[in-house]
Amino acid sequence: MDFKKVNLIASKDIMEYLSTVFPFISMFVALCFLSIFFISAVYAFFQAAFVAQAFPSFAKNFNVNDMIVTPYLGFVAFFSILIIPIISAKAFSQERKLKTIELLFTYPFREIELVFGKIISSFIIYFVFLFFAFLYLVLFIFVYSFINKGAMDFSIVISGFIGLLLLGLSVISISVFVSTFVDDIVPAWAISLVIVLIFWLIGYTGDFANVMYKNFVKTISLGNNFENFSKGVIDLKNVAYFLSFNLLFIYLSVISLMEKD
Amino acid sequence: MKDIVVLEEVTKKYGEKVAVDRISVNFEEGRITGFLGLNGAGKTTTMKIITTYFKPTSGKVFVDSFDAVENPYKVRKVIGYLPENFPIYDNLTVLDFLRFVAMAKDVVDVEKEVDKVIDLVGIKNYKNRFLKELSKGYKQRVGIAQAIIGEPKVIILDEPTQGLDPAQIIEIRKLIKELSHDKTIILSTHIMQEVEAICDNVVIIHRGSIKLKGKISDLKKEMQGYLTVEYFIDNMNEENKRVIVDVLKEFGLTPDFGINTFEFSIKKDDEYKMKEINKKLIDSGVGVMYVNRSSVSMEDLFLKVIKEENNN
Repeated sequence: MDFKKVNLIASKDIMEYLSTVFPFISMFVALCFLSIFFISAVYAFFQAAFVAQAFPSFAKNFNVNDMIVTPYLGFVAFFSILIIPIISAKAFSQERKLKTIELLFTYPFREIELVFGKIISSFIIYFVFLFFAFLYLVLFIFVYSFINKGAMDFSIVISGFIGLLLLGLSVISISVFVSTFVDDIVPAWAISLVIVLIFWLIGYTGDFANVMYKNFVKTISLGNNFENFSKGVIDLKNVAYFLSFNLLFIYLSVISLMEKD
Repeated sequence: MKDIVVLEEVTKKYGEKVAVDRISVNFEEGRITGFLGLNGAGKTTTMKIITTYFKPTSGKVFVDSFDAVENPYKVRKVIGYLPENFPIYDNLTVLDFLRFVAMAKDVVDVEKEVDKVIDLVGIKNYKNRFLKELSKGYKQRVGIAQAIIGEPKVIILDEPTQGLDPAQIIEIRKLIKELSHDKTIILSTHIMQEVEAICDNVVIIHRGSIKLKGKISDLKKEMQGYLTVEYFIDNMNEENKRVIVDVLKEFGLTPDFGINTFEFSIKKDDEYKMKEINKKLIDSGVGVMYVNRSSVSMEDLFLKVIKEENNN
């Protein structure tokens, strides 16, 4: 694989993303919702802090991670799942629709280079989204630690960030794979979303079944594998899961492109 | 002369439908070959197989000695391709797009090469425009520019003049002719005059099979020995049609019917038979009004090949 070619595809796609507004409007709307949620969570936290002053016993179960950071990470994950397919379902479906895929496949690119290039371009856009989504969380922790004269605890923010990067990468891989065989962006987005939601929610079906099934669905669920990250735990098992998940969909995308006719 | 593109018994099926049926054809290095056929004859499918965009269902394809199925990456390095209805990236400028193509083709000095092709195809004043802002003629020029960038050994042009106005057609044909000095060009079209105007060789494809291949000069030489005779008659009813077919059959000729007209090709050496043919037609009650005698054109040859196949 030639990384210069991967970079070339990624750069071309980013240039194209920058000239369309829809992904940015989607990200902006998502960030507005995240801001509202964050402000509400902070407001609720300070209200609870007043209560805790009056009832000290209540303060024992009271911390910023449980009340703000973990729920916020869950909310960011939810919006990531909605937003990413809008960006990455374009990958090949747009090329197929415009027939520019005929050009891509007659230039000296390997299928793997095209897939990686498309994934990286979406990932960079997603990274920008995540950066803004984390900006006020990080600022809040700075301010909160300063007011309380306590040590800053960024462990849960860091693990949450890594978890969201891995989760986002997985959603991108699914969307890119779907775009290899769907000609239109809207169906590609919808199919990607359905697949992502199945992998996200499948873990919950285990609560109503036997142990073997429960263990299986919890192992393959995106939601369950993300859970540890949102609690500040970076478990290599979860990291390995996300990486394998990505490799699987990258492999499927390459196969799908090789058999496109 | 070396064959740079070789197709051996190539078949392409879409499900049950056979688009290309066991075709074997070679394209000579340094020549312009016209790939001629009606719409849906299998031209585009064959070209897409040569470019590695499609894999053949069976058969072998070699481009510059590389197997297109086993080694598509190597093949893509030696070809330049202009697809039919050149697709564009709406939101890229001409310059950005050509830089992208040059880098994709591993061109060493990207800026120099891009400037060179921009000059060659005459789009210098449009290089900072978005592709979506260009007219059809200029889009086609960009299409040719992206095909020739990086000096590919084989240039494949699928219907390069489709949808262009007459002035643009002349310009694009001139451009293709200029490119042909040191390149192998395969050009698909359904217009015989285009092949006559710019090609050295011709391959006629019909219903997925190769019907004729050869040098234009050889075919023209062969055609010089033939004449086309066209009759205008007063009433082309079924009875007259039957009589005409029967009379011409006696002389080993087959007519093509139009509205109150019919025509056939006859060897110049057999021209003396015309007196007898005319007499028999008139004696049989066919109301001959005018007769026109002309040389056989390449267009006639193409139509003859297609009609023979349809009759079969």
